Amino acid sequence: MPNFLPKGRLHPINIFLRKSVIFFQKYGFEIVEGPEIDTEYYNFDALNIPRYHPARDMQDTFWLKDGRLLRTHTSTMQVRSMQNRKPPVRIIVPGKCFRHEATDASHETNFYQLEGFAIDSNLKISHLTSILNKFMKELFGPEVSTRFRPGYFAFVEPGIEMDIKLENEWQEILGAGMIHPNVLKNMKISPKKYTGFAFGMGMDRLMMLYYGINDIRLSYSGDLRFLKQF
Amino acid sequence: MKVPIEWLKDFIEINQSPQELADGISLHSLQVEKINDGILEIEITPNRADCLSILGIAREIAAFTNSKLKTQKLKLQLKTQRINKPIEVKIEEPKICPRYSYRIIDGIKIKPSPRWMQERLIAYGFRPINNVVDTTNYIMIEFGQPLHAFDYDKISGAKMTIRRARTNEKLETLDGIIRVLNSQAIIIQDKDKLIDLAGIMGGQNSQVTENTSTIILQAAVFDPILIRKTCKKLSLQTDASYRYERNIDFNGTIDCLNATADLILETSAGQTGKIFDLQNIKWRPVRIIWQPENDVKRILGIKISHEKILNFLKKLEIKCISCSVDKKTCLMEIPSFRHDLKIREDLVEEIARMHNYNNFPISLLSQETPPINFSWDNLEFLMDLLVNYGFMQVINYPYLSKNDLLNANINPTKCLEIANPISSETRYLRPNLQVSILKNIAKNPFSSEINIFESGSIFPAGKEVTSLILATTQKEEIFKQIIEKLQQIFKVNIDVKIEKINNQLLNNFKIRKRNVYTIMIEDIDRRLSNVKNISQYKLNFSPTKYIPISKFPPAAFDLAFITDKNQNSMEIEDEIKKYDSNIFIVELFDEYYFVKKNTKNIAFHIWIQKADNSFNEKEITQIKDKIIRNIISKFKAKLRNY
Repeated sequence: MPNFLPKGRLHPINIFLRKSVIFFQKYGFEIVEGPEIDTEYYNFDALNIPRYHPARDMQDTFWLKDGRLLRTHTSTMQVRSMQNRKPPVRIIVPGKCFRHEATDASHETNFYQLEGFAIDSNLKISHLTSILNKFMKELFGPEVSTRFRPGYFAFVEPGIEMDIKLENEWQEILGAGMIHPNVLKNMKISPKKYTGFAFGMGMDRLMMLYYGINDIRLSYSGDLRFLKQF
Repeated sequence: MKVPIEWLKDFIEINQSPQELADGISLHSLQVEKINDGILEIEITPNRADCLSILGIAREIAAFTNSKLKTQKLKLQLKTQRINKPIEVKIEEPKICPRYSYRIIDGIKIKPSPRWMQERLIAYGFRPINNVVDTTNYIMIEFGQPLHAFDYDKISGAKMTIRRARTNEKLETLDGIIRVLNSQAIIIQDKDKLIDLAGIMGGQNSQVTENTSTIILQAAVFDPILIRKTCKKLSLQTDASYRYERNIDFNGTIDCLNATADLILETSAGQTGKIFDLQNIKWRPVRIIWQPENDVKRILGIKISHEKILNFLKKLEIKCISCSVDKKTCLMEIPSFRHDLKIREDLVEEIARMHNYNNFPISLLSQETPPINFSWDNLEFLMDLLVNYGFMQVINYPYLSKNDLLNANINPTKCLEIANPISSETRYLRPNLQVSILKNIAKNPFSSEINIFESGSIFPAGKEVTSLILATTQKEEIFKQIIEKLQQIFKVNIDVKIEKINNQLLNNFKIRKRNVYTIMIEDIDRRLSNVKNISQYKLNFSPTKYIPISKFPPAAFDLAFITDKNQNSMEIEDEIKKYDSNIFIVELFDEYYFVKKNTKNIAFHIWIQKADNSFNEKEITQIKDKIIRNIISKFKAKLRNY
């Protein structure tokens, strides 16, 4: 390898993606990537979010003039990637997602998500909570406190959210749950034979909590004063 | 939703502190986002319309604290009078209004509502208006049933017809805005005019005013999807429509008409007529067959006894209708206010949250080796390579404005366009990576040299491909070396052009630097996906604490030292940062050895900034001197002058 000076740096989000991906690969999760422009079907309908359901409000969407959309989560790959796979599977999907939101220090119109899901004949919700706990302790140290709360995402049932405690405050960091039987059916998998779990987390937010960054927009500013610090 | 704790106490005994109560609600039901002066701010997810009410939240608390819900407010039986003011209500299409319950209250006096009611409304976020309007709002918050009061005397022909609006029919709503409707809207019409945008907002012409003495009090159920479509079309959301589109309790109308009449008559003269109840669709309770112990074990991985499971559900008013003899299979009946419970997994969720998700055992997945994703691995490895050549990774938005495109001589009509951009900045999807990278260069005037790269999606001609771009403001030589290296490592022929950005483009993007070169490689992930056996990329994960960047321009200077050849340069880099809180970036940019003397030369770029100002020469010199003094004494180094 050459060794030019000064050294360049990876973007902190990429550092976080690497860290996360390497963790989940240890447990057999395969990296799958998918398109940023997708259809309403894979982004919503296939995930049990029908057209006129208020759950759609949770994910305000950029629509293209041709009727397609910018994916609001990498969960689009749940049904997509199962078109040529059979359980058991363990998959993670890192990638950029988009939300039609006014921007401020904690909201962005684009962000990175790491989606993960597993389908097998004997998966329980405790497999999900255990691996997420292990992951957060890997990121924030073994002493970090975590908790799970009920959550709602139309494509999981039961649905949960996870918090971690940093500087004595609970921080909401991810949504997860057991894959909804309707989604399994859309994958052509029998909900009677198989169960699955899924989780999705915003890399930007985790990265910001980790480095103590107060403004999400810095990530996409291209400002070298920011990028050179990592 | 804002939920005052003292209001909850009307329905349930609360002995915990607000914090304990909030934690309990968060862990078993819905997230409490804030506690403010005795008011809980609870995020009600779209599936839990039943919790858009004080009663709904109290019911949840009763379930997880195992206490009793006080429901006397729901069991009112009012004494009714014969009121000789007829009104004929007709529903044109049963589906749009499955239930319409109403009563007439006569001889009332409009005045301000009582102080206690006003205080609760204000705590929730409503502005008090008068005793009738306030009471309908109050009961909606308390029980979740939207109510509406019409001024009886403003309805002509003693007739109300509930129907779909016709295309372009107009109605002036309470807020004074004239709404243009279509057949998705549900309206109420009297003999000669539209009087109500049903389920969303009342009409101006039938509203209760200080002269009103007779009201028609309505508690209805409307079709959630039509309400939602109309709200979306009109960009209008009200507390009533919010509840309707999430689905209200089909069986709540009568109790709420009683509670409302009771409260109005508590504060005003008057008398109430009997309730009329039009039900065009018969409500049938949802029933779910499941195997309580089995399903819980299968999904949650824990064993909970049959009795305990049914007991949890009973607290949530989910009844067991019948059970097989071996207790394996049960038929459950769902209460009418819970629209989110449809399948057995939904019941399992109820058990899970009552049990508390934090009480599950640990069961970690086995460690395994997954299939390799070569295009991911190779692209990451490639990025490591670029970092070693001194390149910084940037990540840009995929959108560009029309201006950006024109600046880059790109025809906007050839780009993918977003139908609902937030601003003109998010209107087009980028057809290449060059435009954003030029904007990056323009944004960093303080940097004397810029080497950056981005790997990301571009959208040329309606397609989506992953592309890589490198940009440098130094000599183009570095690109030749990189391309050669890539071809050597990946053994693929990468035929890329080194492009020198012309002055017109530089001027368009307000870049002062004159030597800017880029190379672009399209479809990079696919090109690399067939390359196997490349070394693993590296992980450099360390808890750096980010130093916020100042609004004021930074100052940068270079310092070079001669040290012992074995001196660790990184150690000096870290040390420099400690000497002044204004130093925020230190980067080693040169290092070479004097073999004969056993020494080496190391040089650093040092960036300083202040939160509230820029620097003057004297301040810069002071910081420089401090660094030089300290490094010389601590590392037995010598300052090297240029």
